[in-house]
Amino acid sequence: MRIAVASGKGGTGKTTVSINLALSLGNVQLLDCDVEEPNCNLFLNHELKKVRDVVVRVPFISKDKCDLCMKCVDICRFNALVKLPKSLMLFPKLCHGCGACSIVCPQGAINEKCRSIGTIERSVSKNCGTELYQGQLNIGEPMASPIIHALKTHIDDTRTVIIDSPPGTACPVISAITGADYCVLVTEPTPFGLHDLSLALELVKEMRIPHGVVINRCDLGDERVDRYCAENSIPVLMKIPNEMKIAELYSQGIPFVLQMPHWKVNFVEMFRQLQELAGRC
Amino acid sequence: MKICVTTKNNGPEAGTDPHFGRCLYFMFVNTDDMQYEFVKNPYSSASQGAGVRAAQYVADRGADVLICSNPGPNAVSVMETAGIQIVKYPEMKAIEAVQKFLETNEI
Repeated sequence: MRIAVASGKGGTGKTTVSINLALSLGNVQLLDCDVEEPNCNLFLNHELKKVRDVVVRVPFISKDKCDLCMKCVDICRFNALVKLPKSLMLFPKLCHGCGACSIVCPQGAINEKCRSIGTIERSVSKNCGTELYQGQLNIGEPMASPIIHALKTHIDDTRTVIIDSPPGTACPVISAITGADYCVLVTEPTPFGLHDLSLALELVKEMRIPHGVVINRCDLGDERVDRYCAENSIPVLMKIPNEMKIAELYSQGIPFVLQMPHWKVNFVEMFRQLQELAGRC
Repeated sequence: MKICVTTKNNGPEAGTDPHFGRCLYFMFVNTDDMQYEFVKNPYSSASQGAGVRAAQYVADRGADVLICSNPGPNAVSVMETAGIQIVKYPEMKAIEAVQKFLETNEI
């Protein structure tokens, strides 16, 4: 079963929920898909090794064959190619690697070459219960989705898979949660939390992914998230209080279930609940 | 020579726009007869790559000089390759920016 942990708003506790759920269940695969700043391993401290580079294909233009006809420039939806009076310029970071330019080129002047944009790493030990895979986007690179797609090729569907998604509702999130059997949306009871939760809910509804909400720091803010969930029949799976001990453990990089074992029970119970809600017992 | 100024409007009182790729208008001035025209920037709301396409557009229209206070790095590299001089002035009226350029540069 694949469980995605997402949120609209950043900093609501996706990684906290992902890690503590993973450790409570044991023997799961955890994918850190927040490839712009993967932080699951701050709490796991696994020794990681590189599995592979992630590459995108970008055009390589043979100047002697190019007659500046501009067909490649016109087809490019991402404005990665520019024609100047005497030359063609490529902006590799704008290129999404779709290959359209090389298909339309009547001169056969465009070949493709691979450009590395990041890496995939995984836990060295496969026997430590939680097997972590994390993607890392190279600094300065704008496209997270190819790394997330590459990460997901390592999914082992014989196990429970937890996908720690990036924040927001844009392309990287869609890449991360596509194919999930259930999506846990983590929020906080603040106006921003509610606003961004409502955007994330629109997304999971559109994608037809069964979903529920975890309210983190639930005793802050107001009742509006609760009311919103009740009015829209969205299950509230768990509430995590704004507790000093949890915050202190977090600040030391310690998943709180390790020192507050009664929470393990809560996470296991939440897992049972979402198995039922996803229709898989 | 042809000067291009990024502007927020399309009239004689128009002010310069510090943005390049997403400015609303370009004012093109022909310094031979001081005729000017405003054209709408077709890339002002492109989802990505507005700077590079706007730069190509300005180059295609034969500009020799661009007056814009803050063009992005991609646009700058297109301008450099196309041999267009970039002039950075603080915000002012577009007409005054052209006059300032002509007063301080021998053409």
